[in-house]
Amino acid sequence: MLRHPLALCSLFVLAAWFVSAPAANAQSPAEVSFLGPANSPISAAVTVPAGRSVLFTSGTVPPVLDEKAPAGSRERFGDTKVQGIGALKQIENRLHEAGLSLADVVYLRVYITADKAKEGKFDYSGWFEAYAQFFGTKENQVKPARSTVGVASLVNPDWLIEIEAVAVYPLAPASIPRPAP
Amino acid sequence: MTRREFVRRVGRYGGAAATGAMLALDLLGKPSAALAAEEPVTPAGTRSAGGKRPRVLILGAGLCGMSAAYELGKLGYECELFEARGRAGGRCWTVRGGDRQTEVGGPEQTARFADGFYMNPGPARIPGHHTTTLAYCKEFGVQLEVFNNVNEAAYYLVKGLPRVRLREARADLRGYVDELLAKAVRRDALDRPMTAGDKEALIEYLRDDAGLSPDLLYKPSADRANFNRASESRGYVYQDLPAAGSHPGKISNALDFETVIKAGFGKHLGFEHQFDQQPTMFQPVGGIDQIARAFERRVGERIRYHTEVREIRKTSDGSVRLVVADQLEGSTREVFGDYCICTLPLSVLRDVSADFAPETADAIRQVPYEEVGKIGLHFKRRFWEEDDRIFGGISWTDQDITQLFYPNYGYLGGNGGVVIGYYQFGPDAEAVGKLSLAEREAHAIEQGEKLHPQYRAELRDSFSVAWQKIPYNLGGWAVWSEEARSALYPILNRPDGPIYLAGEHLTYLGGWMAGAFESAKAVVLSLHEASARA
Repeated sequence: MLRHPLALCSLFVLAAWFVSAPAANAQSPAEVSFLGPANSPISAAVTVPAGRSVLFTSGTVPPVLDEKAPAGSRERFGDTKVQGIGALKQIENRLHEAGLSLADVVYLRVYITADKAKEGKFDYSGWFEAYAQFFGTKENQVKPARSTVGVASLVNPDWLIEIEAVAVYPLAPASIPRPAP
Repeated sequence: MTRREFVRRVGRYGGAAATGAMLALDLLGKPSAALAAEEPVTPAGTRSAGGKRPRVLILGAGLCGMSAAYELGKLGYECELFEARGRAGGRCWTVRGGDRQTEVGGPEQTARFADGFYMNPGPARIPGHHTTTLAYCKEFGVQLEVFNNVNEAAYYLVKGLPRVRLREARADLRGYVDELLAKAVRRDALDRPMTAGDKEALIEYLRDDAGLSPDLLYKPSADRANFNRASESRGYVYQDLPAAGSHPGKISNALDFETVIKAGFGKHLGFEHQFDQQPTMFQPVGGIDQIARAFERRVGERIRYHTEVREIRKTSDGSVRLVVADQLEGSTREVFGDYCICTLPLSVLRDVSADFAPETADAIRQVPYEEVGKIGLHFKRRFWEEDDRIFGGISWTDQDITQLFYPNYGYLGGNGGVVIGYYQFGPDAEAVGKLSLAEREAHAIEQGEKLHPQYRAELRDSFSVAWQKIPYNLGGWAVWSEEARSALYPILNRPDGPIYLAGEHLTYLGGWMAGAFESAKAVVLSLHEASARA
């Protein structure tokens, strides 16, 4: 499905491509499609056709694991992986309330802060492990497009991760009335 | 296409012959002089050139084939119809006592219905908006009576509950839902802000719709003092109907809310609100085949019965050659024509050797057909009328028999009647179609007697039809997915050289007789225009 548009262009068309709007050469997508190498855990791009409804979550943060654990303690929120799992579960719940699931997610933007307990480094691999439990799995083969960004701080100093998700509503199954003459 | 549009366009090419068509087709009044004069009349090319009438070979003498022959005949074409069966009408078929049918791989089945009783295994009802169907009935004097598609006294039977009357289920579902909504509005529990005036207006509507009490409860009451719209909707216990003296009648008790919600009554409540199923619907008096018979009286002389089409060939001069087999004599012969209208179901056509263009042949292969089954149960006594006070209409169930049609004729007659004991589609129809005739009957009885315990004692005989196994049909009707509708439908609607495909399968009226008629009109017009250009 992933065909480079330029591969189909003659030089003449290519020249025209630079002066006309690039979109004029692009094929408008007919369905939600996930583009990119098969072995990558994420998609390089996702196309969404016109007319589809979209849900954006707010930045979603991890739940408190242990109410009794004091602020600043590891036990209160867990490490980046545990927090990532918690945040994705929160997103999953939100999607379910809207009648959607993680299989409808097309894009994730992930903010990560440095973990003081891990030499002040960003625990990207912790997040990737959390992600791998929810996407590109046997149960949910969908691999959204994703950005992972290291940031200086989040609102709560104990939070190591905050995730935004974009999901596309599935098409209602076409209801073709059956004749009963 | 409206009849007026059809007449107008036929008139454009028709020459003198078209006048007859215009008069015959404009059934609701003669065409005005203005309409007749509107378009210049161009003589049909083939006819004016050689003086020879164009010859059209029509495959299948169902409603589409016969109505095409009828209209083309009026336009001066010479038609010959080839019908594999010994009868015309195709799916427009009525089974009466003595009629026989053998399904593919099955034994011969003989109907043993008493005189005057019948079943319509195919189409059985005509919506009031199927204008062409009704116009032909009018033109041919086919007498109509009401097909009772909705009967509030009929039953719903869903798993885990005793049968209830449609009116009871409807009243309870509507009552409780209205109650919930009215309370939610009153408590400002809706997301949407409403003005006080709007709230009261909505509550007033809900109260009126379901007969809610002043405190917004759905509470049908037999108590005359509390008698309300809810009581009227739910209705009386049939064993205690209103009468004289001290018998005001007893209002039946509402089911409780949880039961009503769990029962899923809503699945069937919308049926008669479908555009195609809305009252008033009709049936021809005496069986649906009265329509086919009426056509047969007009074009029957041109029908070659027991004649199966073996080959459809395009000739080098752009006309058509058929190889047909006479089933009775066991001989084959060739016939030639200028055009061919092929109304065979795609399920059958795909096995006929033909010179279709590759894309046509490919499309013909790809369109699936629905499995459809019906059984007619002849009972000795009209217990549904005498015991249950159900006169016509349909009872519904969540069992796979799906529904029972009560007969819409012979009310309260002494000789019993024929009930349609199941009407099945898709996988259910396929599964039951695989059973033996006796097993199908047993299946219908086993499920149906849960609605009517009288079944077993009153059964006289049955006749069942699995359309996917009926030779020359091999399915109920074409099933169009959205994809096939956009990719294949346009291909099949285009003439393939001199060959025109037609039938319910090439319309948006799949399965209905109206589909056959509308397709015939479209193809007659298309052929007539091509003939004028030739």
